[in-house]
Amino acid sequence: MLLQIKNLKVNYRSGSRAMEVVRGVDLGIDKGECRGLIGESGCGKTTVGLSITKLMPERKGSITSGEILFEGNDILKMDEEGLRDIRGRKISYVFQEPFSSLNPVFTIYEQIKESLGEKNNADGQIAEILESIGLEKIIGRKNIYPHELSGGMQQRAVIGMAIASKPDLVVLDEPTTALDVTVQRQILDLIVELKNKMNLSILFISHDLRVVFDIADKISIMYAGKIVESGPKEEIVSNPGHPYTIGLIDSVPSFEHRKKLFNAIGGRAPLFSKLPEGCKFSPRCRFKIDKCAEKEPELENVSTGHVSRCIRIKDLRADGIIKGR
Amino acid sequence: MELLKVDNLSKAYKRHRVTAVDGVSFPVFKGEILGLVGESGCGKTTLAKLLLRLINADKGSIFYKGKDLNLISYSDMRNLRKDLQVIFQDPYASLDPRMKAGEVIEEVYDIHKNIPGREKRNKAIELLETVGLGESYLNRLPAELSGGERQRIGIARALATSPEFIVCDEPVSSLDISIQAQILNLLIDLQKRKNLTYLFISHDLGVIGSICDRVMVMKSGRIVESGLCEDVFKHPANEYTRSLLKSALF
Amino acid sequence: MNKLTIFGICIVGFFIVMALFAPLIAPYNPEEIDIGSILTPPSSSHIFGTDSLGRDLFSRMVYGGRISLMVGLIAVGIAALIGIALGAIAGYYGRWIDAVIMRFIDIMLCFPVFFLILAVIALMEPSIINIMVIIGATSWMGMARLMRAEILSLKERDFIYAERAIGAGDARIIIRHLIPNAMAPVLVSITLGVAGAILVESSLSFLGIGVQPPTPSWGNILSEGKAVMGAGWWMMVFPGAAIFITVLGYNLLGEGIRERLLK
Repeated sequence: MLLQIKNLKVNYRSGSRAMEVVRGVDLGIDKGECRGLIGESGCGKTTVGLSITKLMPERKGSITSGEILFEGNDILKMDEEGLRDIRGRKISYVFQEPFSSLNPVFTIYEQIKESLGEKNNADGQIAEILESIGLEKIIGRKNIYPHELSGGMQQRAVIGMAIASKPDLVVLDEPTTALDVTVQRQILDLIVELKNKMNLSILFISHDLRVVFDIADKISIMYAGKIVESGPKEEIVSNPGHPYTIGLIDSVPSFEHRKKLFNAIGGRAPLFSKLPEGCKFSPRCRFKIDKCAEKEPELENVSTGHVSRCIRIKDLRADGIIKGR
Repeated sequence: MELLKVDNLSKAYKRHRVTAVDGVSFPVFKGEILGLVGESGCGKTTLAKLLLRLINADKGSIFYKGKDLNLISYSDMRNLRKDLQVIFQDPYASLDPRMKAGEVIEEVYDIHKNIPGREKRNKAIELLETVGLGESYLNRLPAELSGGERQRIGIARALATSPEFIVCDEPVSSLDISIQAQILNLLIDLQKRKNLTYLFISHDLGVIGSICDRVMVMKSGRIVESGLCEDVFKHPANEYTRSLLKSALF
Repeated sequence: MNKLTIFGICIVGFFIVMALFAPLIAPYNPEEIDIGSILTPPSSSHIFGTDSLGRDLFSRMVYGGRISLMVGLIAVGIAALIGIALGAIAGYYGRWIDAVIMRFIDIMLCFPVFFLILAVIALMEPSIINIMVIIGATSWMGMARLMRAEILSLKERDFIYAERAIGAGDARIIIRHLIPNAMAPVLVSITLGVAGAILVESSLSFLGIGVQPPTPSWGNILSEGKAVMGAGWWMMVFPGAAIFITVLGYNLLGEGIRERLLK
């Protein structure tokens, strides 16, 4: 396994209070695999991504426990020098807003060159990268600045910078959320193409399960700072094993689901300062029983490689209340 | 019945040298949900603001129940605003950060002076309940509310004048998917119960496909295809519509 | 909250209390002449000493503070009224209205303000009211610009479109929604403006064209002190220190508000 996150806990300070926003997350990514991490805003998914190379702002967040094993070494035990060796070289990032990821006063050429870490003539390599990210148009055009590109082309350039150093792992945090649908399609195709060509491992973080269902091999779903379900994509799509996942899938609008009310999840996600007792999803769960509020469930197997944090799922399936789809 | 008719409407932004809306014509029928789909910068939000006369058109006319909105007086327009309402995309930007939820709704009655002062509070509570919130929200400021709750208050404000026609400008685009489904349910339910007419703007074909009766596809300020949702989704005639549908994730 | 801000609040609060309760705090009538004790140094009966007419300096300072503070606050109030109104109108209506108001501001900013005040006072009678009005009428331009800039960005926000959609008129939109949301930077400017106005008033009084004796103000006490600098150091040190500390207090408070409201 290329990356293994074990029992990661992260505290965030807001004012004088500290809140645990990642409450013990386990996540693994194999070589050449795309792991999708789905969660709604404020569930802690971005913090998990940033924690991998200890990128979150120090005065706001701190990792309180856990291990992040990258090629067998614990990143959390590394010093700044070791981290620099990994950041941008072995693990790189792509964020939501391409324009704010690019420095407006440098040309695209200069920025890709910097990511390469090359001081001397790198034109050949840059041309190769530009070709692989579908920006053949600007090969040789060294005076192109970020603002001269469309949003989709900017995001291509950001991806180019992320893969320039031939990393092992790329963390993509909502990389297509700010883009139009047609451009989103192109960027997703590009990511898959690069992944196959370079045998990249990917952590793909998004709130949009349609995007994650499209691209990921394995999927984890996060709620209130913990993974509530995890498994291969086909399993999650056709046989979801947690009421939250089922609610999310039922909430996806589509033409097939015409003119019907959604079987929506009620209420809203809890605040980290006021987490409920027991299962954190239980106050919104339509299958809740008294026992759910007693103790937060552990992740348990529902089928091979498919785990769920729900005490009722086996019974519900056995009774046919939850069916595969 | 034709509730609204748009005829050759155009609007250019001279400073940016773009024609945001370029000779658009279409009818809106009473009681329908008319979808407007397009990518960013296609002019859909400008069209929404033109319809409500929040900005003025360069050319073209809008007829509401046969009346040309260009020709009616300022005070008649203020009165007509009761019939034409809007729900915005970003619930963070669409509420005055200094106003409590109750005040947002009560203000509508202050402006139209159509109900006595004592009743305002009761009407506000009633509307908050209609949108799935309750009396406890009366004194809450936007900063204390989640995105979904804010959007519900935006909807309550739009309902306060008992409108016939509501422009929903990307009302669920900035919401999480579980909240999006709740708000769509609310909008569908309100439309049925109050026999409302919506112009529903979205970039998301899934959302459009799930709730609209008819759909118009907009590109570079023009409507490139329109028709019943079934027809457009199953048998798209326009090249751009086809590429949109092909890109959509279902 | 920042320690310096708290310090600023304490200073400002201290002088406001002094001004409000001047008759209770001052041990003597500030205009009562006592020929028997001219220019006596600070002592237990006159803690700040007496001036060249034997008046109790501490009492004069307390009443002078009242004048300085009143001039400062009212002058800035006038400036804020003009600045907020013109800035809001320029920002909201735009087009030629904006152009006219902004060019007017440019013209106002071209004058060396202090000489403008000198010229106007020379033509009019130097009364407290005239001074407040003239300081106010020449210091609103910064606030107008701040207000206009805020309004320009606020008026494109959806909640303003929403107000128009429910039928709200321009006056309601400007007064109830735009101005309150645009006040933060103006509030900083107002606080700093009080310090500026107090300084201008002191300078004018020091030059003899501000608050006229026998009414005490820090500036004219300082001016009187100048004449007897060798014989009575306290006549310059105490009013000078009072002006310095007050201005410092308002500046610290202004910075504190800026940090708090504008991040």
